[in-house]
Amino acid sequence: MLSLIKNYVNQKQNVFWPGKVELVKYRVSNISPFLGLIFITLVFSFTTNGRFASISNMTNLVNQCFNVIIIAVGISFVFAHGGMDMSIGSVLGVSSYVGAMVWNMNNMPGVAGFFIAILVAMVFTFITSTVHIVARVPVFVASLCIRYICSGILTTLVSENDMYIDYTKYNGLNNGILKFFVLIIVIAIGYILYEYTAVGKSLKSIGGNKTMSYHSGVKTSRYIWGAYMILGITIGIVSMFSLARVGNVTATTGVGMEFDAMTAIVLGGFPIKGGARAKIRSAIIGAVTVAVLTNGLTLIGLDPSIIYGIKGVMFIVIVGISYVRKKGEIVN
Amino acid sequence: MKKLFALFMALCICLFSFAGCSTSPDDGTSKKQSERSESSGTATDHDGKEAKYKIGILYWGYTDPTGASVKKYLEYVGEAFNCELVFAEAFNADALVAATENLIQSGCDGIISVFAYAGMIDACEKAGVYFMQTQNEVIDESTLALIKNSKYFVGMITEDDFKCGYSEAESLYDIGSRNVVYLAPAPGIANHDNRVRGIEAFVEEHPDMVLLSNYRGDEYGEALQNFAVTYPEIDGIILTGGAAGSTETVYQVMETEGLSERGVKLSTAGIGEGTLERFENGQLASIRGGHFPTVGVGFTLLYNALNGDKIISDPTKTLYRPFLEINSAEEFKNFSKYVEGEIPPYTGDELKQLVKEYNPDVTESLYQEWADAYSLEDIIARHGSLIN
Repeated sequence: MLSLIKNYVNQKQNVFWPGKVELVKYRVSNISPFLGLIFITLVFSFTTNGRFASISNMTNLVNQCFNVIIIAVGISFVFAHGGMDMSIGSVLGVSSYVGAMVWNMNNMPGVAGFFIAILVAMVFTFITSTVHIVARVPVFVASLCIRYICSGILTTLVSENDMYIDYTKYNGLNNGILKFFVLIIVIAIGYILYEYTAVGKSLKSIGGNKTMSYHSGVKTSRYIWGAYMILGITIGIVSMFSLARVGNVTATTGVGMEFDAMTAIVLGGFPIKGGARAKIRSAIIGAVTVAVLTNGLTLIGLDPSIIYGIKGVMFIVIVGISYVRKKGEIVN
Repeated sequence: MKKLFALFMALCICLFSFAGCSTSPDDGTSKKQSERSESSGTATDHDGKEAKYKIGILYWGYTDPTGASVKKYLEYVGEAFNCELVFAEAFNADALVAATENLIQSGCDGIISVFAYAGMIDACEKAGVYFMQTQNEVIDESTLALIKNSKYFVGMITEDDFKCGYSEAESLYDIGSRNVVYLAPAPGIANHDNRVRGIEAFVEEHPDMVLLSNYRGDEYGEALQNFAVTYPEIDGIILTGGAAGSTETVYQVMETEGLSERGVKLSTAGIGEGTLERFENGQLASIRGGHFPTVGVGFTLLYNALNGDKIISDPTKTLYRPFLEINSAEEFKNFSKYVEGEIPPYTGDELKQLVKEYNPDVTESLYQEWADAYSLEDIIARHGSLIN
């Protein structure tokens, strides 16, 4: 027994263990996005005369970070394998438009709008991933092309008139509690898929080393396709909730959503190149941080130009702390 | 899973535990009308005086010339009426709804916005916050129906954009341009869409003027470069607006692509940088501006409503005001002096004539009279003697 323990200790001693300093650095970088979020939450709670922490503002916050969190869950699967998608906003615009058409049809149940919008979004993300996988076009270029195609489609569709829905009919979807539960469900499904199934594990493996993963038997193309399908589903969901919140679809619908999602990802400490360190919670923390910052700074009553400045400084501080220079990547 | 649960719980604790710190836990949802006397005690203006109302301003941005003029003028008006102003900016619909919610939450009694989407109107309605749309209008039937049933939607006041587009094409026609292109933002912004309709209506009425092509988007520079190559016969460019530096981009491309040398003229709306030089070097045929006072007039409508005096009987009907048209360097010098100078087109005291608190005879028709009379001559007649 003693020899077994000695053997075990010897084995452990041969393995590289980080020193105390490295361990502290790693832990700080690991928790800094979370600490950043707590810090700004505390600051706003005490500087806004209680307005930030009021129940009504909590509902506002759920509404305001809902879209980015749902998209961030979807895009985590794409970023986990080192992919990206520049067409999220434009695809969201087109699927919103089609969903609105369904909602405006007589005798069509509201849920049909959701299904159609999700289907439309999945078609476009499928095209992006197919062009990338089959034609071997870099995903940045492929998604940029889809972005232009969707922008063109949406601009043409709304060239005469914007698409409006009967706002009062679907206003129930703006209920903060409903959205909160939808968030929980989407996050839970995303988390289980990401952390406990072959989907997430394989995608992280591909992000770590695609060739190695392929030779290890991971069906890389299939999982990459799957990641984009998941992203399509989340875009479809967001498109309809966004439509119910705003009441119409214009040429600017969805504009900048991909950058909001990317900001959330980076701010939360998600490694851009993917891999084993990519955690889905990073994306969620990032999305909440962005919403809390924008909301809190407006509640304080600051000028928009100052808000941009403070947001920039906060981003630098949070990302700066969670950035591991040796590896040259943002880590969790 | 444990980490996710811990994160979720920590977030919930963090956010909800401070609900207890709130002085007014439901201040965003309760009707503002009942709180106004309470909130006015906490808001202060620049001089530390007690501000009467807190008003949120929502615009696409305050860095381009139009946005900057609007902000500067509203700050002046806010001071004249002793109101605290909170400025916010957003462009896409989702961000606009979020910005509206944030302004309501920050304790605003009323909001002045250039955009009005159903979600924004609904948020104000639920919170009991008055909402005034300026420099744009709602044309969609379903949103108009929402406005009709709204208690807190004050009204819409904007420039006559159809007439603006029409006169842009007309001014080029008058100087002999017959082959024109127009550049406008992507469809969906009502005032630009109306200007486009005005341009197209003029061209349709004048068959000898040819609309070679048009561009709807935000890449004006690239679009104009393409037009310059594709249509060598081009002799006139119409721009529906100069927000976010687009006029400056067009001037630049006109020079680099040799369009200015070829005698191509520009007709636009919205005063940008270097307008005088562009008139002097012959690039510019005409420009429309002086529309920023519209927000000041809109401010008085909101102020009246906050005082309990709703002036506009039917908020679904837009109140139109004219642009000031400038066709030469000389006219622009006068414009700079009387419109963009130290004294604004409507002074604080003049605007008070539109407020029932100071002038009990205010009616909707007085607003229309002011709109109809608005011109450079009108400004000079009212307070030209005060300007050196």
